[in-house]
Amino acid sequence: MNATLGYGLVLLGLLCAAFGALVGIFTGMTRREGALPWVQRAVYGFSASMILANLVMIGALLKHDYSVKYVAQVGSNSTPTIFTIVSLWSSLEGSILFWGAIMGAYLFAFAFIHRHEHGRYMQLSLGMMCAVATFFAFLIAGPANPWGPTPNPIPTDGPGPNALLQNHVLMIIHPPMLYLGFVGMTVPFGIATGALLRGELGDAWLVPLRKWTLVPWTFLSVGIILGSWWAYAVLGWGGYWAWDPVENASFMPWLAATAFIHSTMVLERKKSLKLWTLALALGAFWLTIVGTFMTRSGVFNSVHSFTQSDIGPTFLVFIAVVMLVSIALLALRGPLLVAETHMESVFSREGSILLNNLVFCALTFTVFLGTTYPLITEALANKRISVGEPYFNIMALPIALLMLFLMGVGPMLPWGEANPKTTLRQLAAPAAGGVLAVVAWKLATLGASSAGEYGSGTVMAVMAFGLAGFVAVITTRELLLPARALMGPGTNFFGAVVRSASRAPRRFGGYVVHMGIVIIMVAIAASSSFKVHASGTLKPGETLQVGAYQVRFDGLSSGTEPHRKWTSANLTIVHPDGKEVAYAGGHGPRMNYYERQTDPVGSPLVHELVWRDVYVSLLAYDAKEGSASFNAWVFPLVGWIWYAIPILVAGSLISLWPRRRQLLGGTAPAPAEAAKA
Amino acid sequence: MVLALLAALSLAQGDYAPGRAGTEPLDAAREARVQALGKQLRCPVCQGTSIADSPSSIARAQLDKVRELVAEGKTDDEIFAYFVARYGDFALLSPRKEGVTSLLWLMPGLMLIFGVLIIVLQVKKKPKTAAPAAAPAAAPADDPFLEAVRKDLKQ
Repeated sequence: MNATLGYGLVLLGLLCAAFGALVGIFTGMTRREGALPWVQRAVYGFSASMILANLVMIGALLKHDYSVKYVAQVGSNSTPTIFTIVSLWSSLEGSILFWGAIMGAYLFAFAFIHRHEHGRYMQLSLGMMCAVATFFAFLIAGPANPWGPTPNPIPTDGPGPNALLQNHVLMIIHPPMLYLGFVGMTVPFGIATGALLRGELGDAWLVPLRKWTLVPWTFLSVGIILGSWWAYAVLGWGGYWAWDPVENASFMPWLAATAFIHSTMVLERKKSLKLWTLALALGAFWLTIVGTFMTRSGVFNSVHSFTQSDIGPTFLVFIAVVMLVSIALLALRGPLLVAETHMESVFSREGSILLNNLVFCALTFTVFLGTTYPLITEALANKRISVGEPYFNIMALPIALLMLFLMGVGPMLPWGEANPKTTLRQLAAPAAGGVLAVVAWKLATLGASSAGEYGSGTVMAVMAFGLAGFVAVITTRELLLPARALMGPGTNFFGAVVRSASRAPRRFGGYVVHMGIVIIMVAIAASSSFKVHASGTLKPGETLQVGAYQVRFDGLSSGTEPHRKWTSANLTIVHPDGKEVAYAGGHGPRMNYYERQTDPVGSPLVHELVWRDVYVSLLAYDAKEGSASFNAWVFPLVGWIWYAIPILVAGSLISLWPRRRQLLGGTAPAPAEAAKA
Repeated sequence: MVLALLAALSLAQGDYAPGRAGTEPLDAAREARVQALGKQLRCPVCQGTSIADSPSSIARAQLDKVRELVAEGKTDDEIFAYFVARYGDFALLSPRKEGVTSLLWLMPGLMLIFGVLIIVLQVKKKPKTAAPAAAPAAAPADDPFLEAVRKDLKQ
């Protein structure tokens, strides 16, 4: 029953999407704007059937209806309810189905929010989004169909979702965040291709284009950081980012979208870089599809394995189609988008944004090259090589420093052409801030480094601190200066800040995000180059010194939970001031044994403090002797990578806040003020 | 599609075999070298993780081998050569800068340099037509009156 209903809904969604795509693109091109309501109905139909299909699947999972193939694949009677719901996206077919629901939600939101918009803008955009939706509905209906019948006899229990999914609560929110980021890029893709098909990029496109990119960008940022947090808290190797193909797959669209969000500023203000900005939007979308292919087709296990996956070839065709359509549109329709201004100098705001775009593209290209290079050599020369973390670190660090530098210089430069004298004068305070940051770090770690409390650090890390101080001063100045101008008798400082933020929300929010990025950069630099590592095998009562902390082993314990058994090491962390924090009875680092999984899954102990983490993972234990081996680290500032998430989200939300309608007359801000935005 | 999960999976699939403790670390300076070398070598059962990072027993056995070679006083190059001789270039996480592979190291830098050149040339180039074709004659781009009329027309 469930299977028939679910599959029927998917087919209905496919039908709606295909109808919407055909009608939208055809009537859009022939400029018959009366057809818009039909396109909108098709979008609503697609959204409703996709979301309902997902609800049916969740129902089947909860009722353990093993006659549905996907439930038989990932369901289990012993899995806790919350993880049963999560198993909707724990495997390929389910995750593509879930993808469909998110696509439905996005398309509905876009069509509904802009329902009063003129057909001339909406038909083509909605039509192109429906075309993408058609592809995903086709995937769910065909190659990745989760509804197929289970071969007889129908089992009474299943293997349960992947053990790693059940290991940590972050796994519940990390994947939906990434999906929301990936799928959301469909909307700017639709807007951009719609504009290209129409051959004009009117002012009315610009704000929706930017805002509809900022939404998935925010989800993608949160998803990536949560993913790294999850890796850190669960995998136990003491890192959070390994430049793994799956991580790179999420990072590349983020980079392209970040470049895009910056270049829209030049587009909105100077009415130039039109083609380039649209190319970035198309590129970001294309990279989400490539990323999905990379993570879902098994291509990284071996070049030759993807043809055996259900969705590999279909995806490859879609990647090629999207690329060809994008290039053709840019080449054929691009010349119609005329730049209305010419850039006078690189030494200006628009120049710095262009350089920012270049640097982001260079990093995207580097990540793409490094990720796909082994595939290329294997496919062409049948030679297997590895491109791993050391390569990416060497290449990405200088680029990241360049980004930090531009993040400081860019906001300082005026539009048009900067005056060298003024710029030099404005540089003094930030430069002092940079020097101060380095000195402060040196003072804070003086003695501590030589005593082995921290690692010795690298030149790159120190440069990152300096640049971070530089950027922090400039960004704070940009955040607060407009507020100072608004301060008068009767307004306090806080009120002035709120007012200046509400007058130019995009600008204010953008700088808040910059502050978040500065914090993340500092945390990355500090935790990677000033960490301390120790390892060893301990008998009960023995201690392991790591940095200024001592890890005391108090023996092994084990226990049983409904879906797993575990063995854990009881540990006490002894602080330098003698304070002791004990982790016993499963709260220490442990090995989890799941039913029907031969290998245990380890989970580390993260002793979280504000300025540093003490991180211990259990490598091995000997139950007979009662001894255990550990890897232990002290990571300075590492937690600030994830503590920065609320700052990023807050900044994005401020930027998305609708500006008070600029009416003709008194309420409109004066042009000079509006120009600051 | 669960990003990072695949990596995690392959990490976990490496037999975790609790019970094997590995050799004891060397003195601080040499152990740091062991860890640094381990970062450069690929764990055979993982997806792109180094033997210094992987908790799998096979990676830890390889790290023990590195430790043994360091203790014997071998140089970094000799240790890399040891692993390449057995497992090929695949064992190196940082590909060698020779032959076609040097492209991998050069291309990002070249792209940056060309990009800067293109930007500078574009900016220096004077626009062909002095006045932007799209802007109507007298009205400045941000004329509020024109904006309001445009907005009304769109509704």
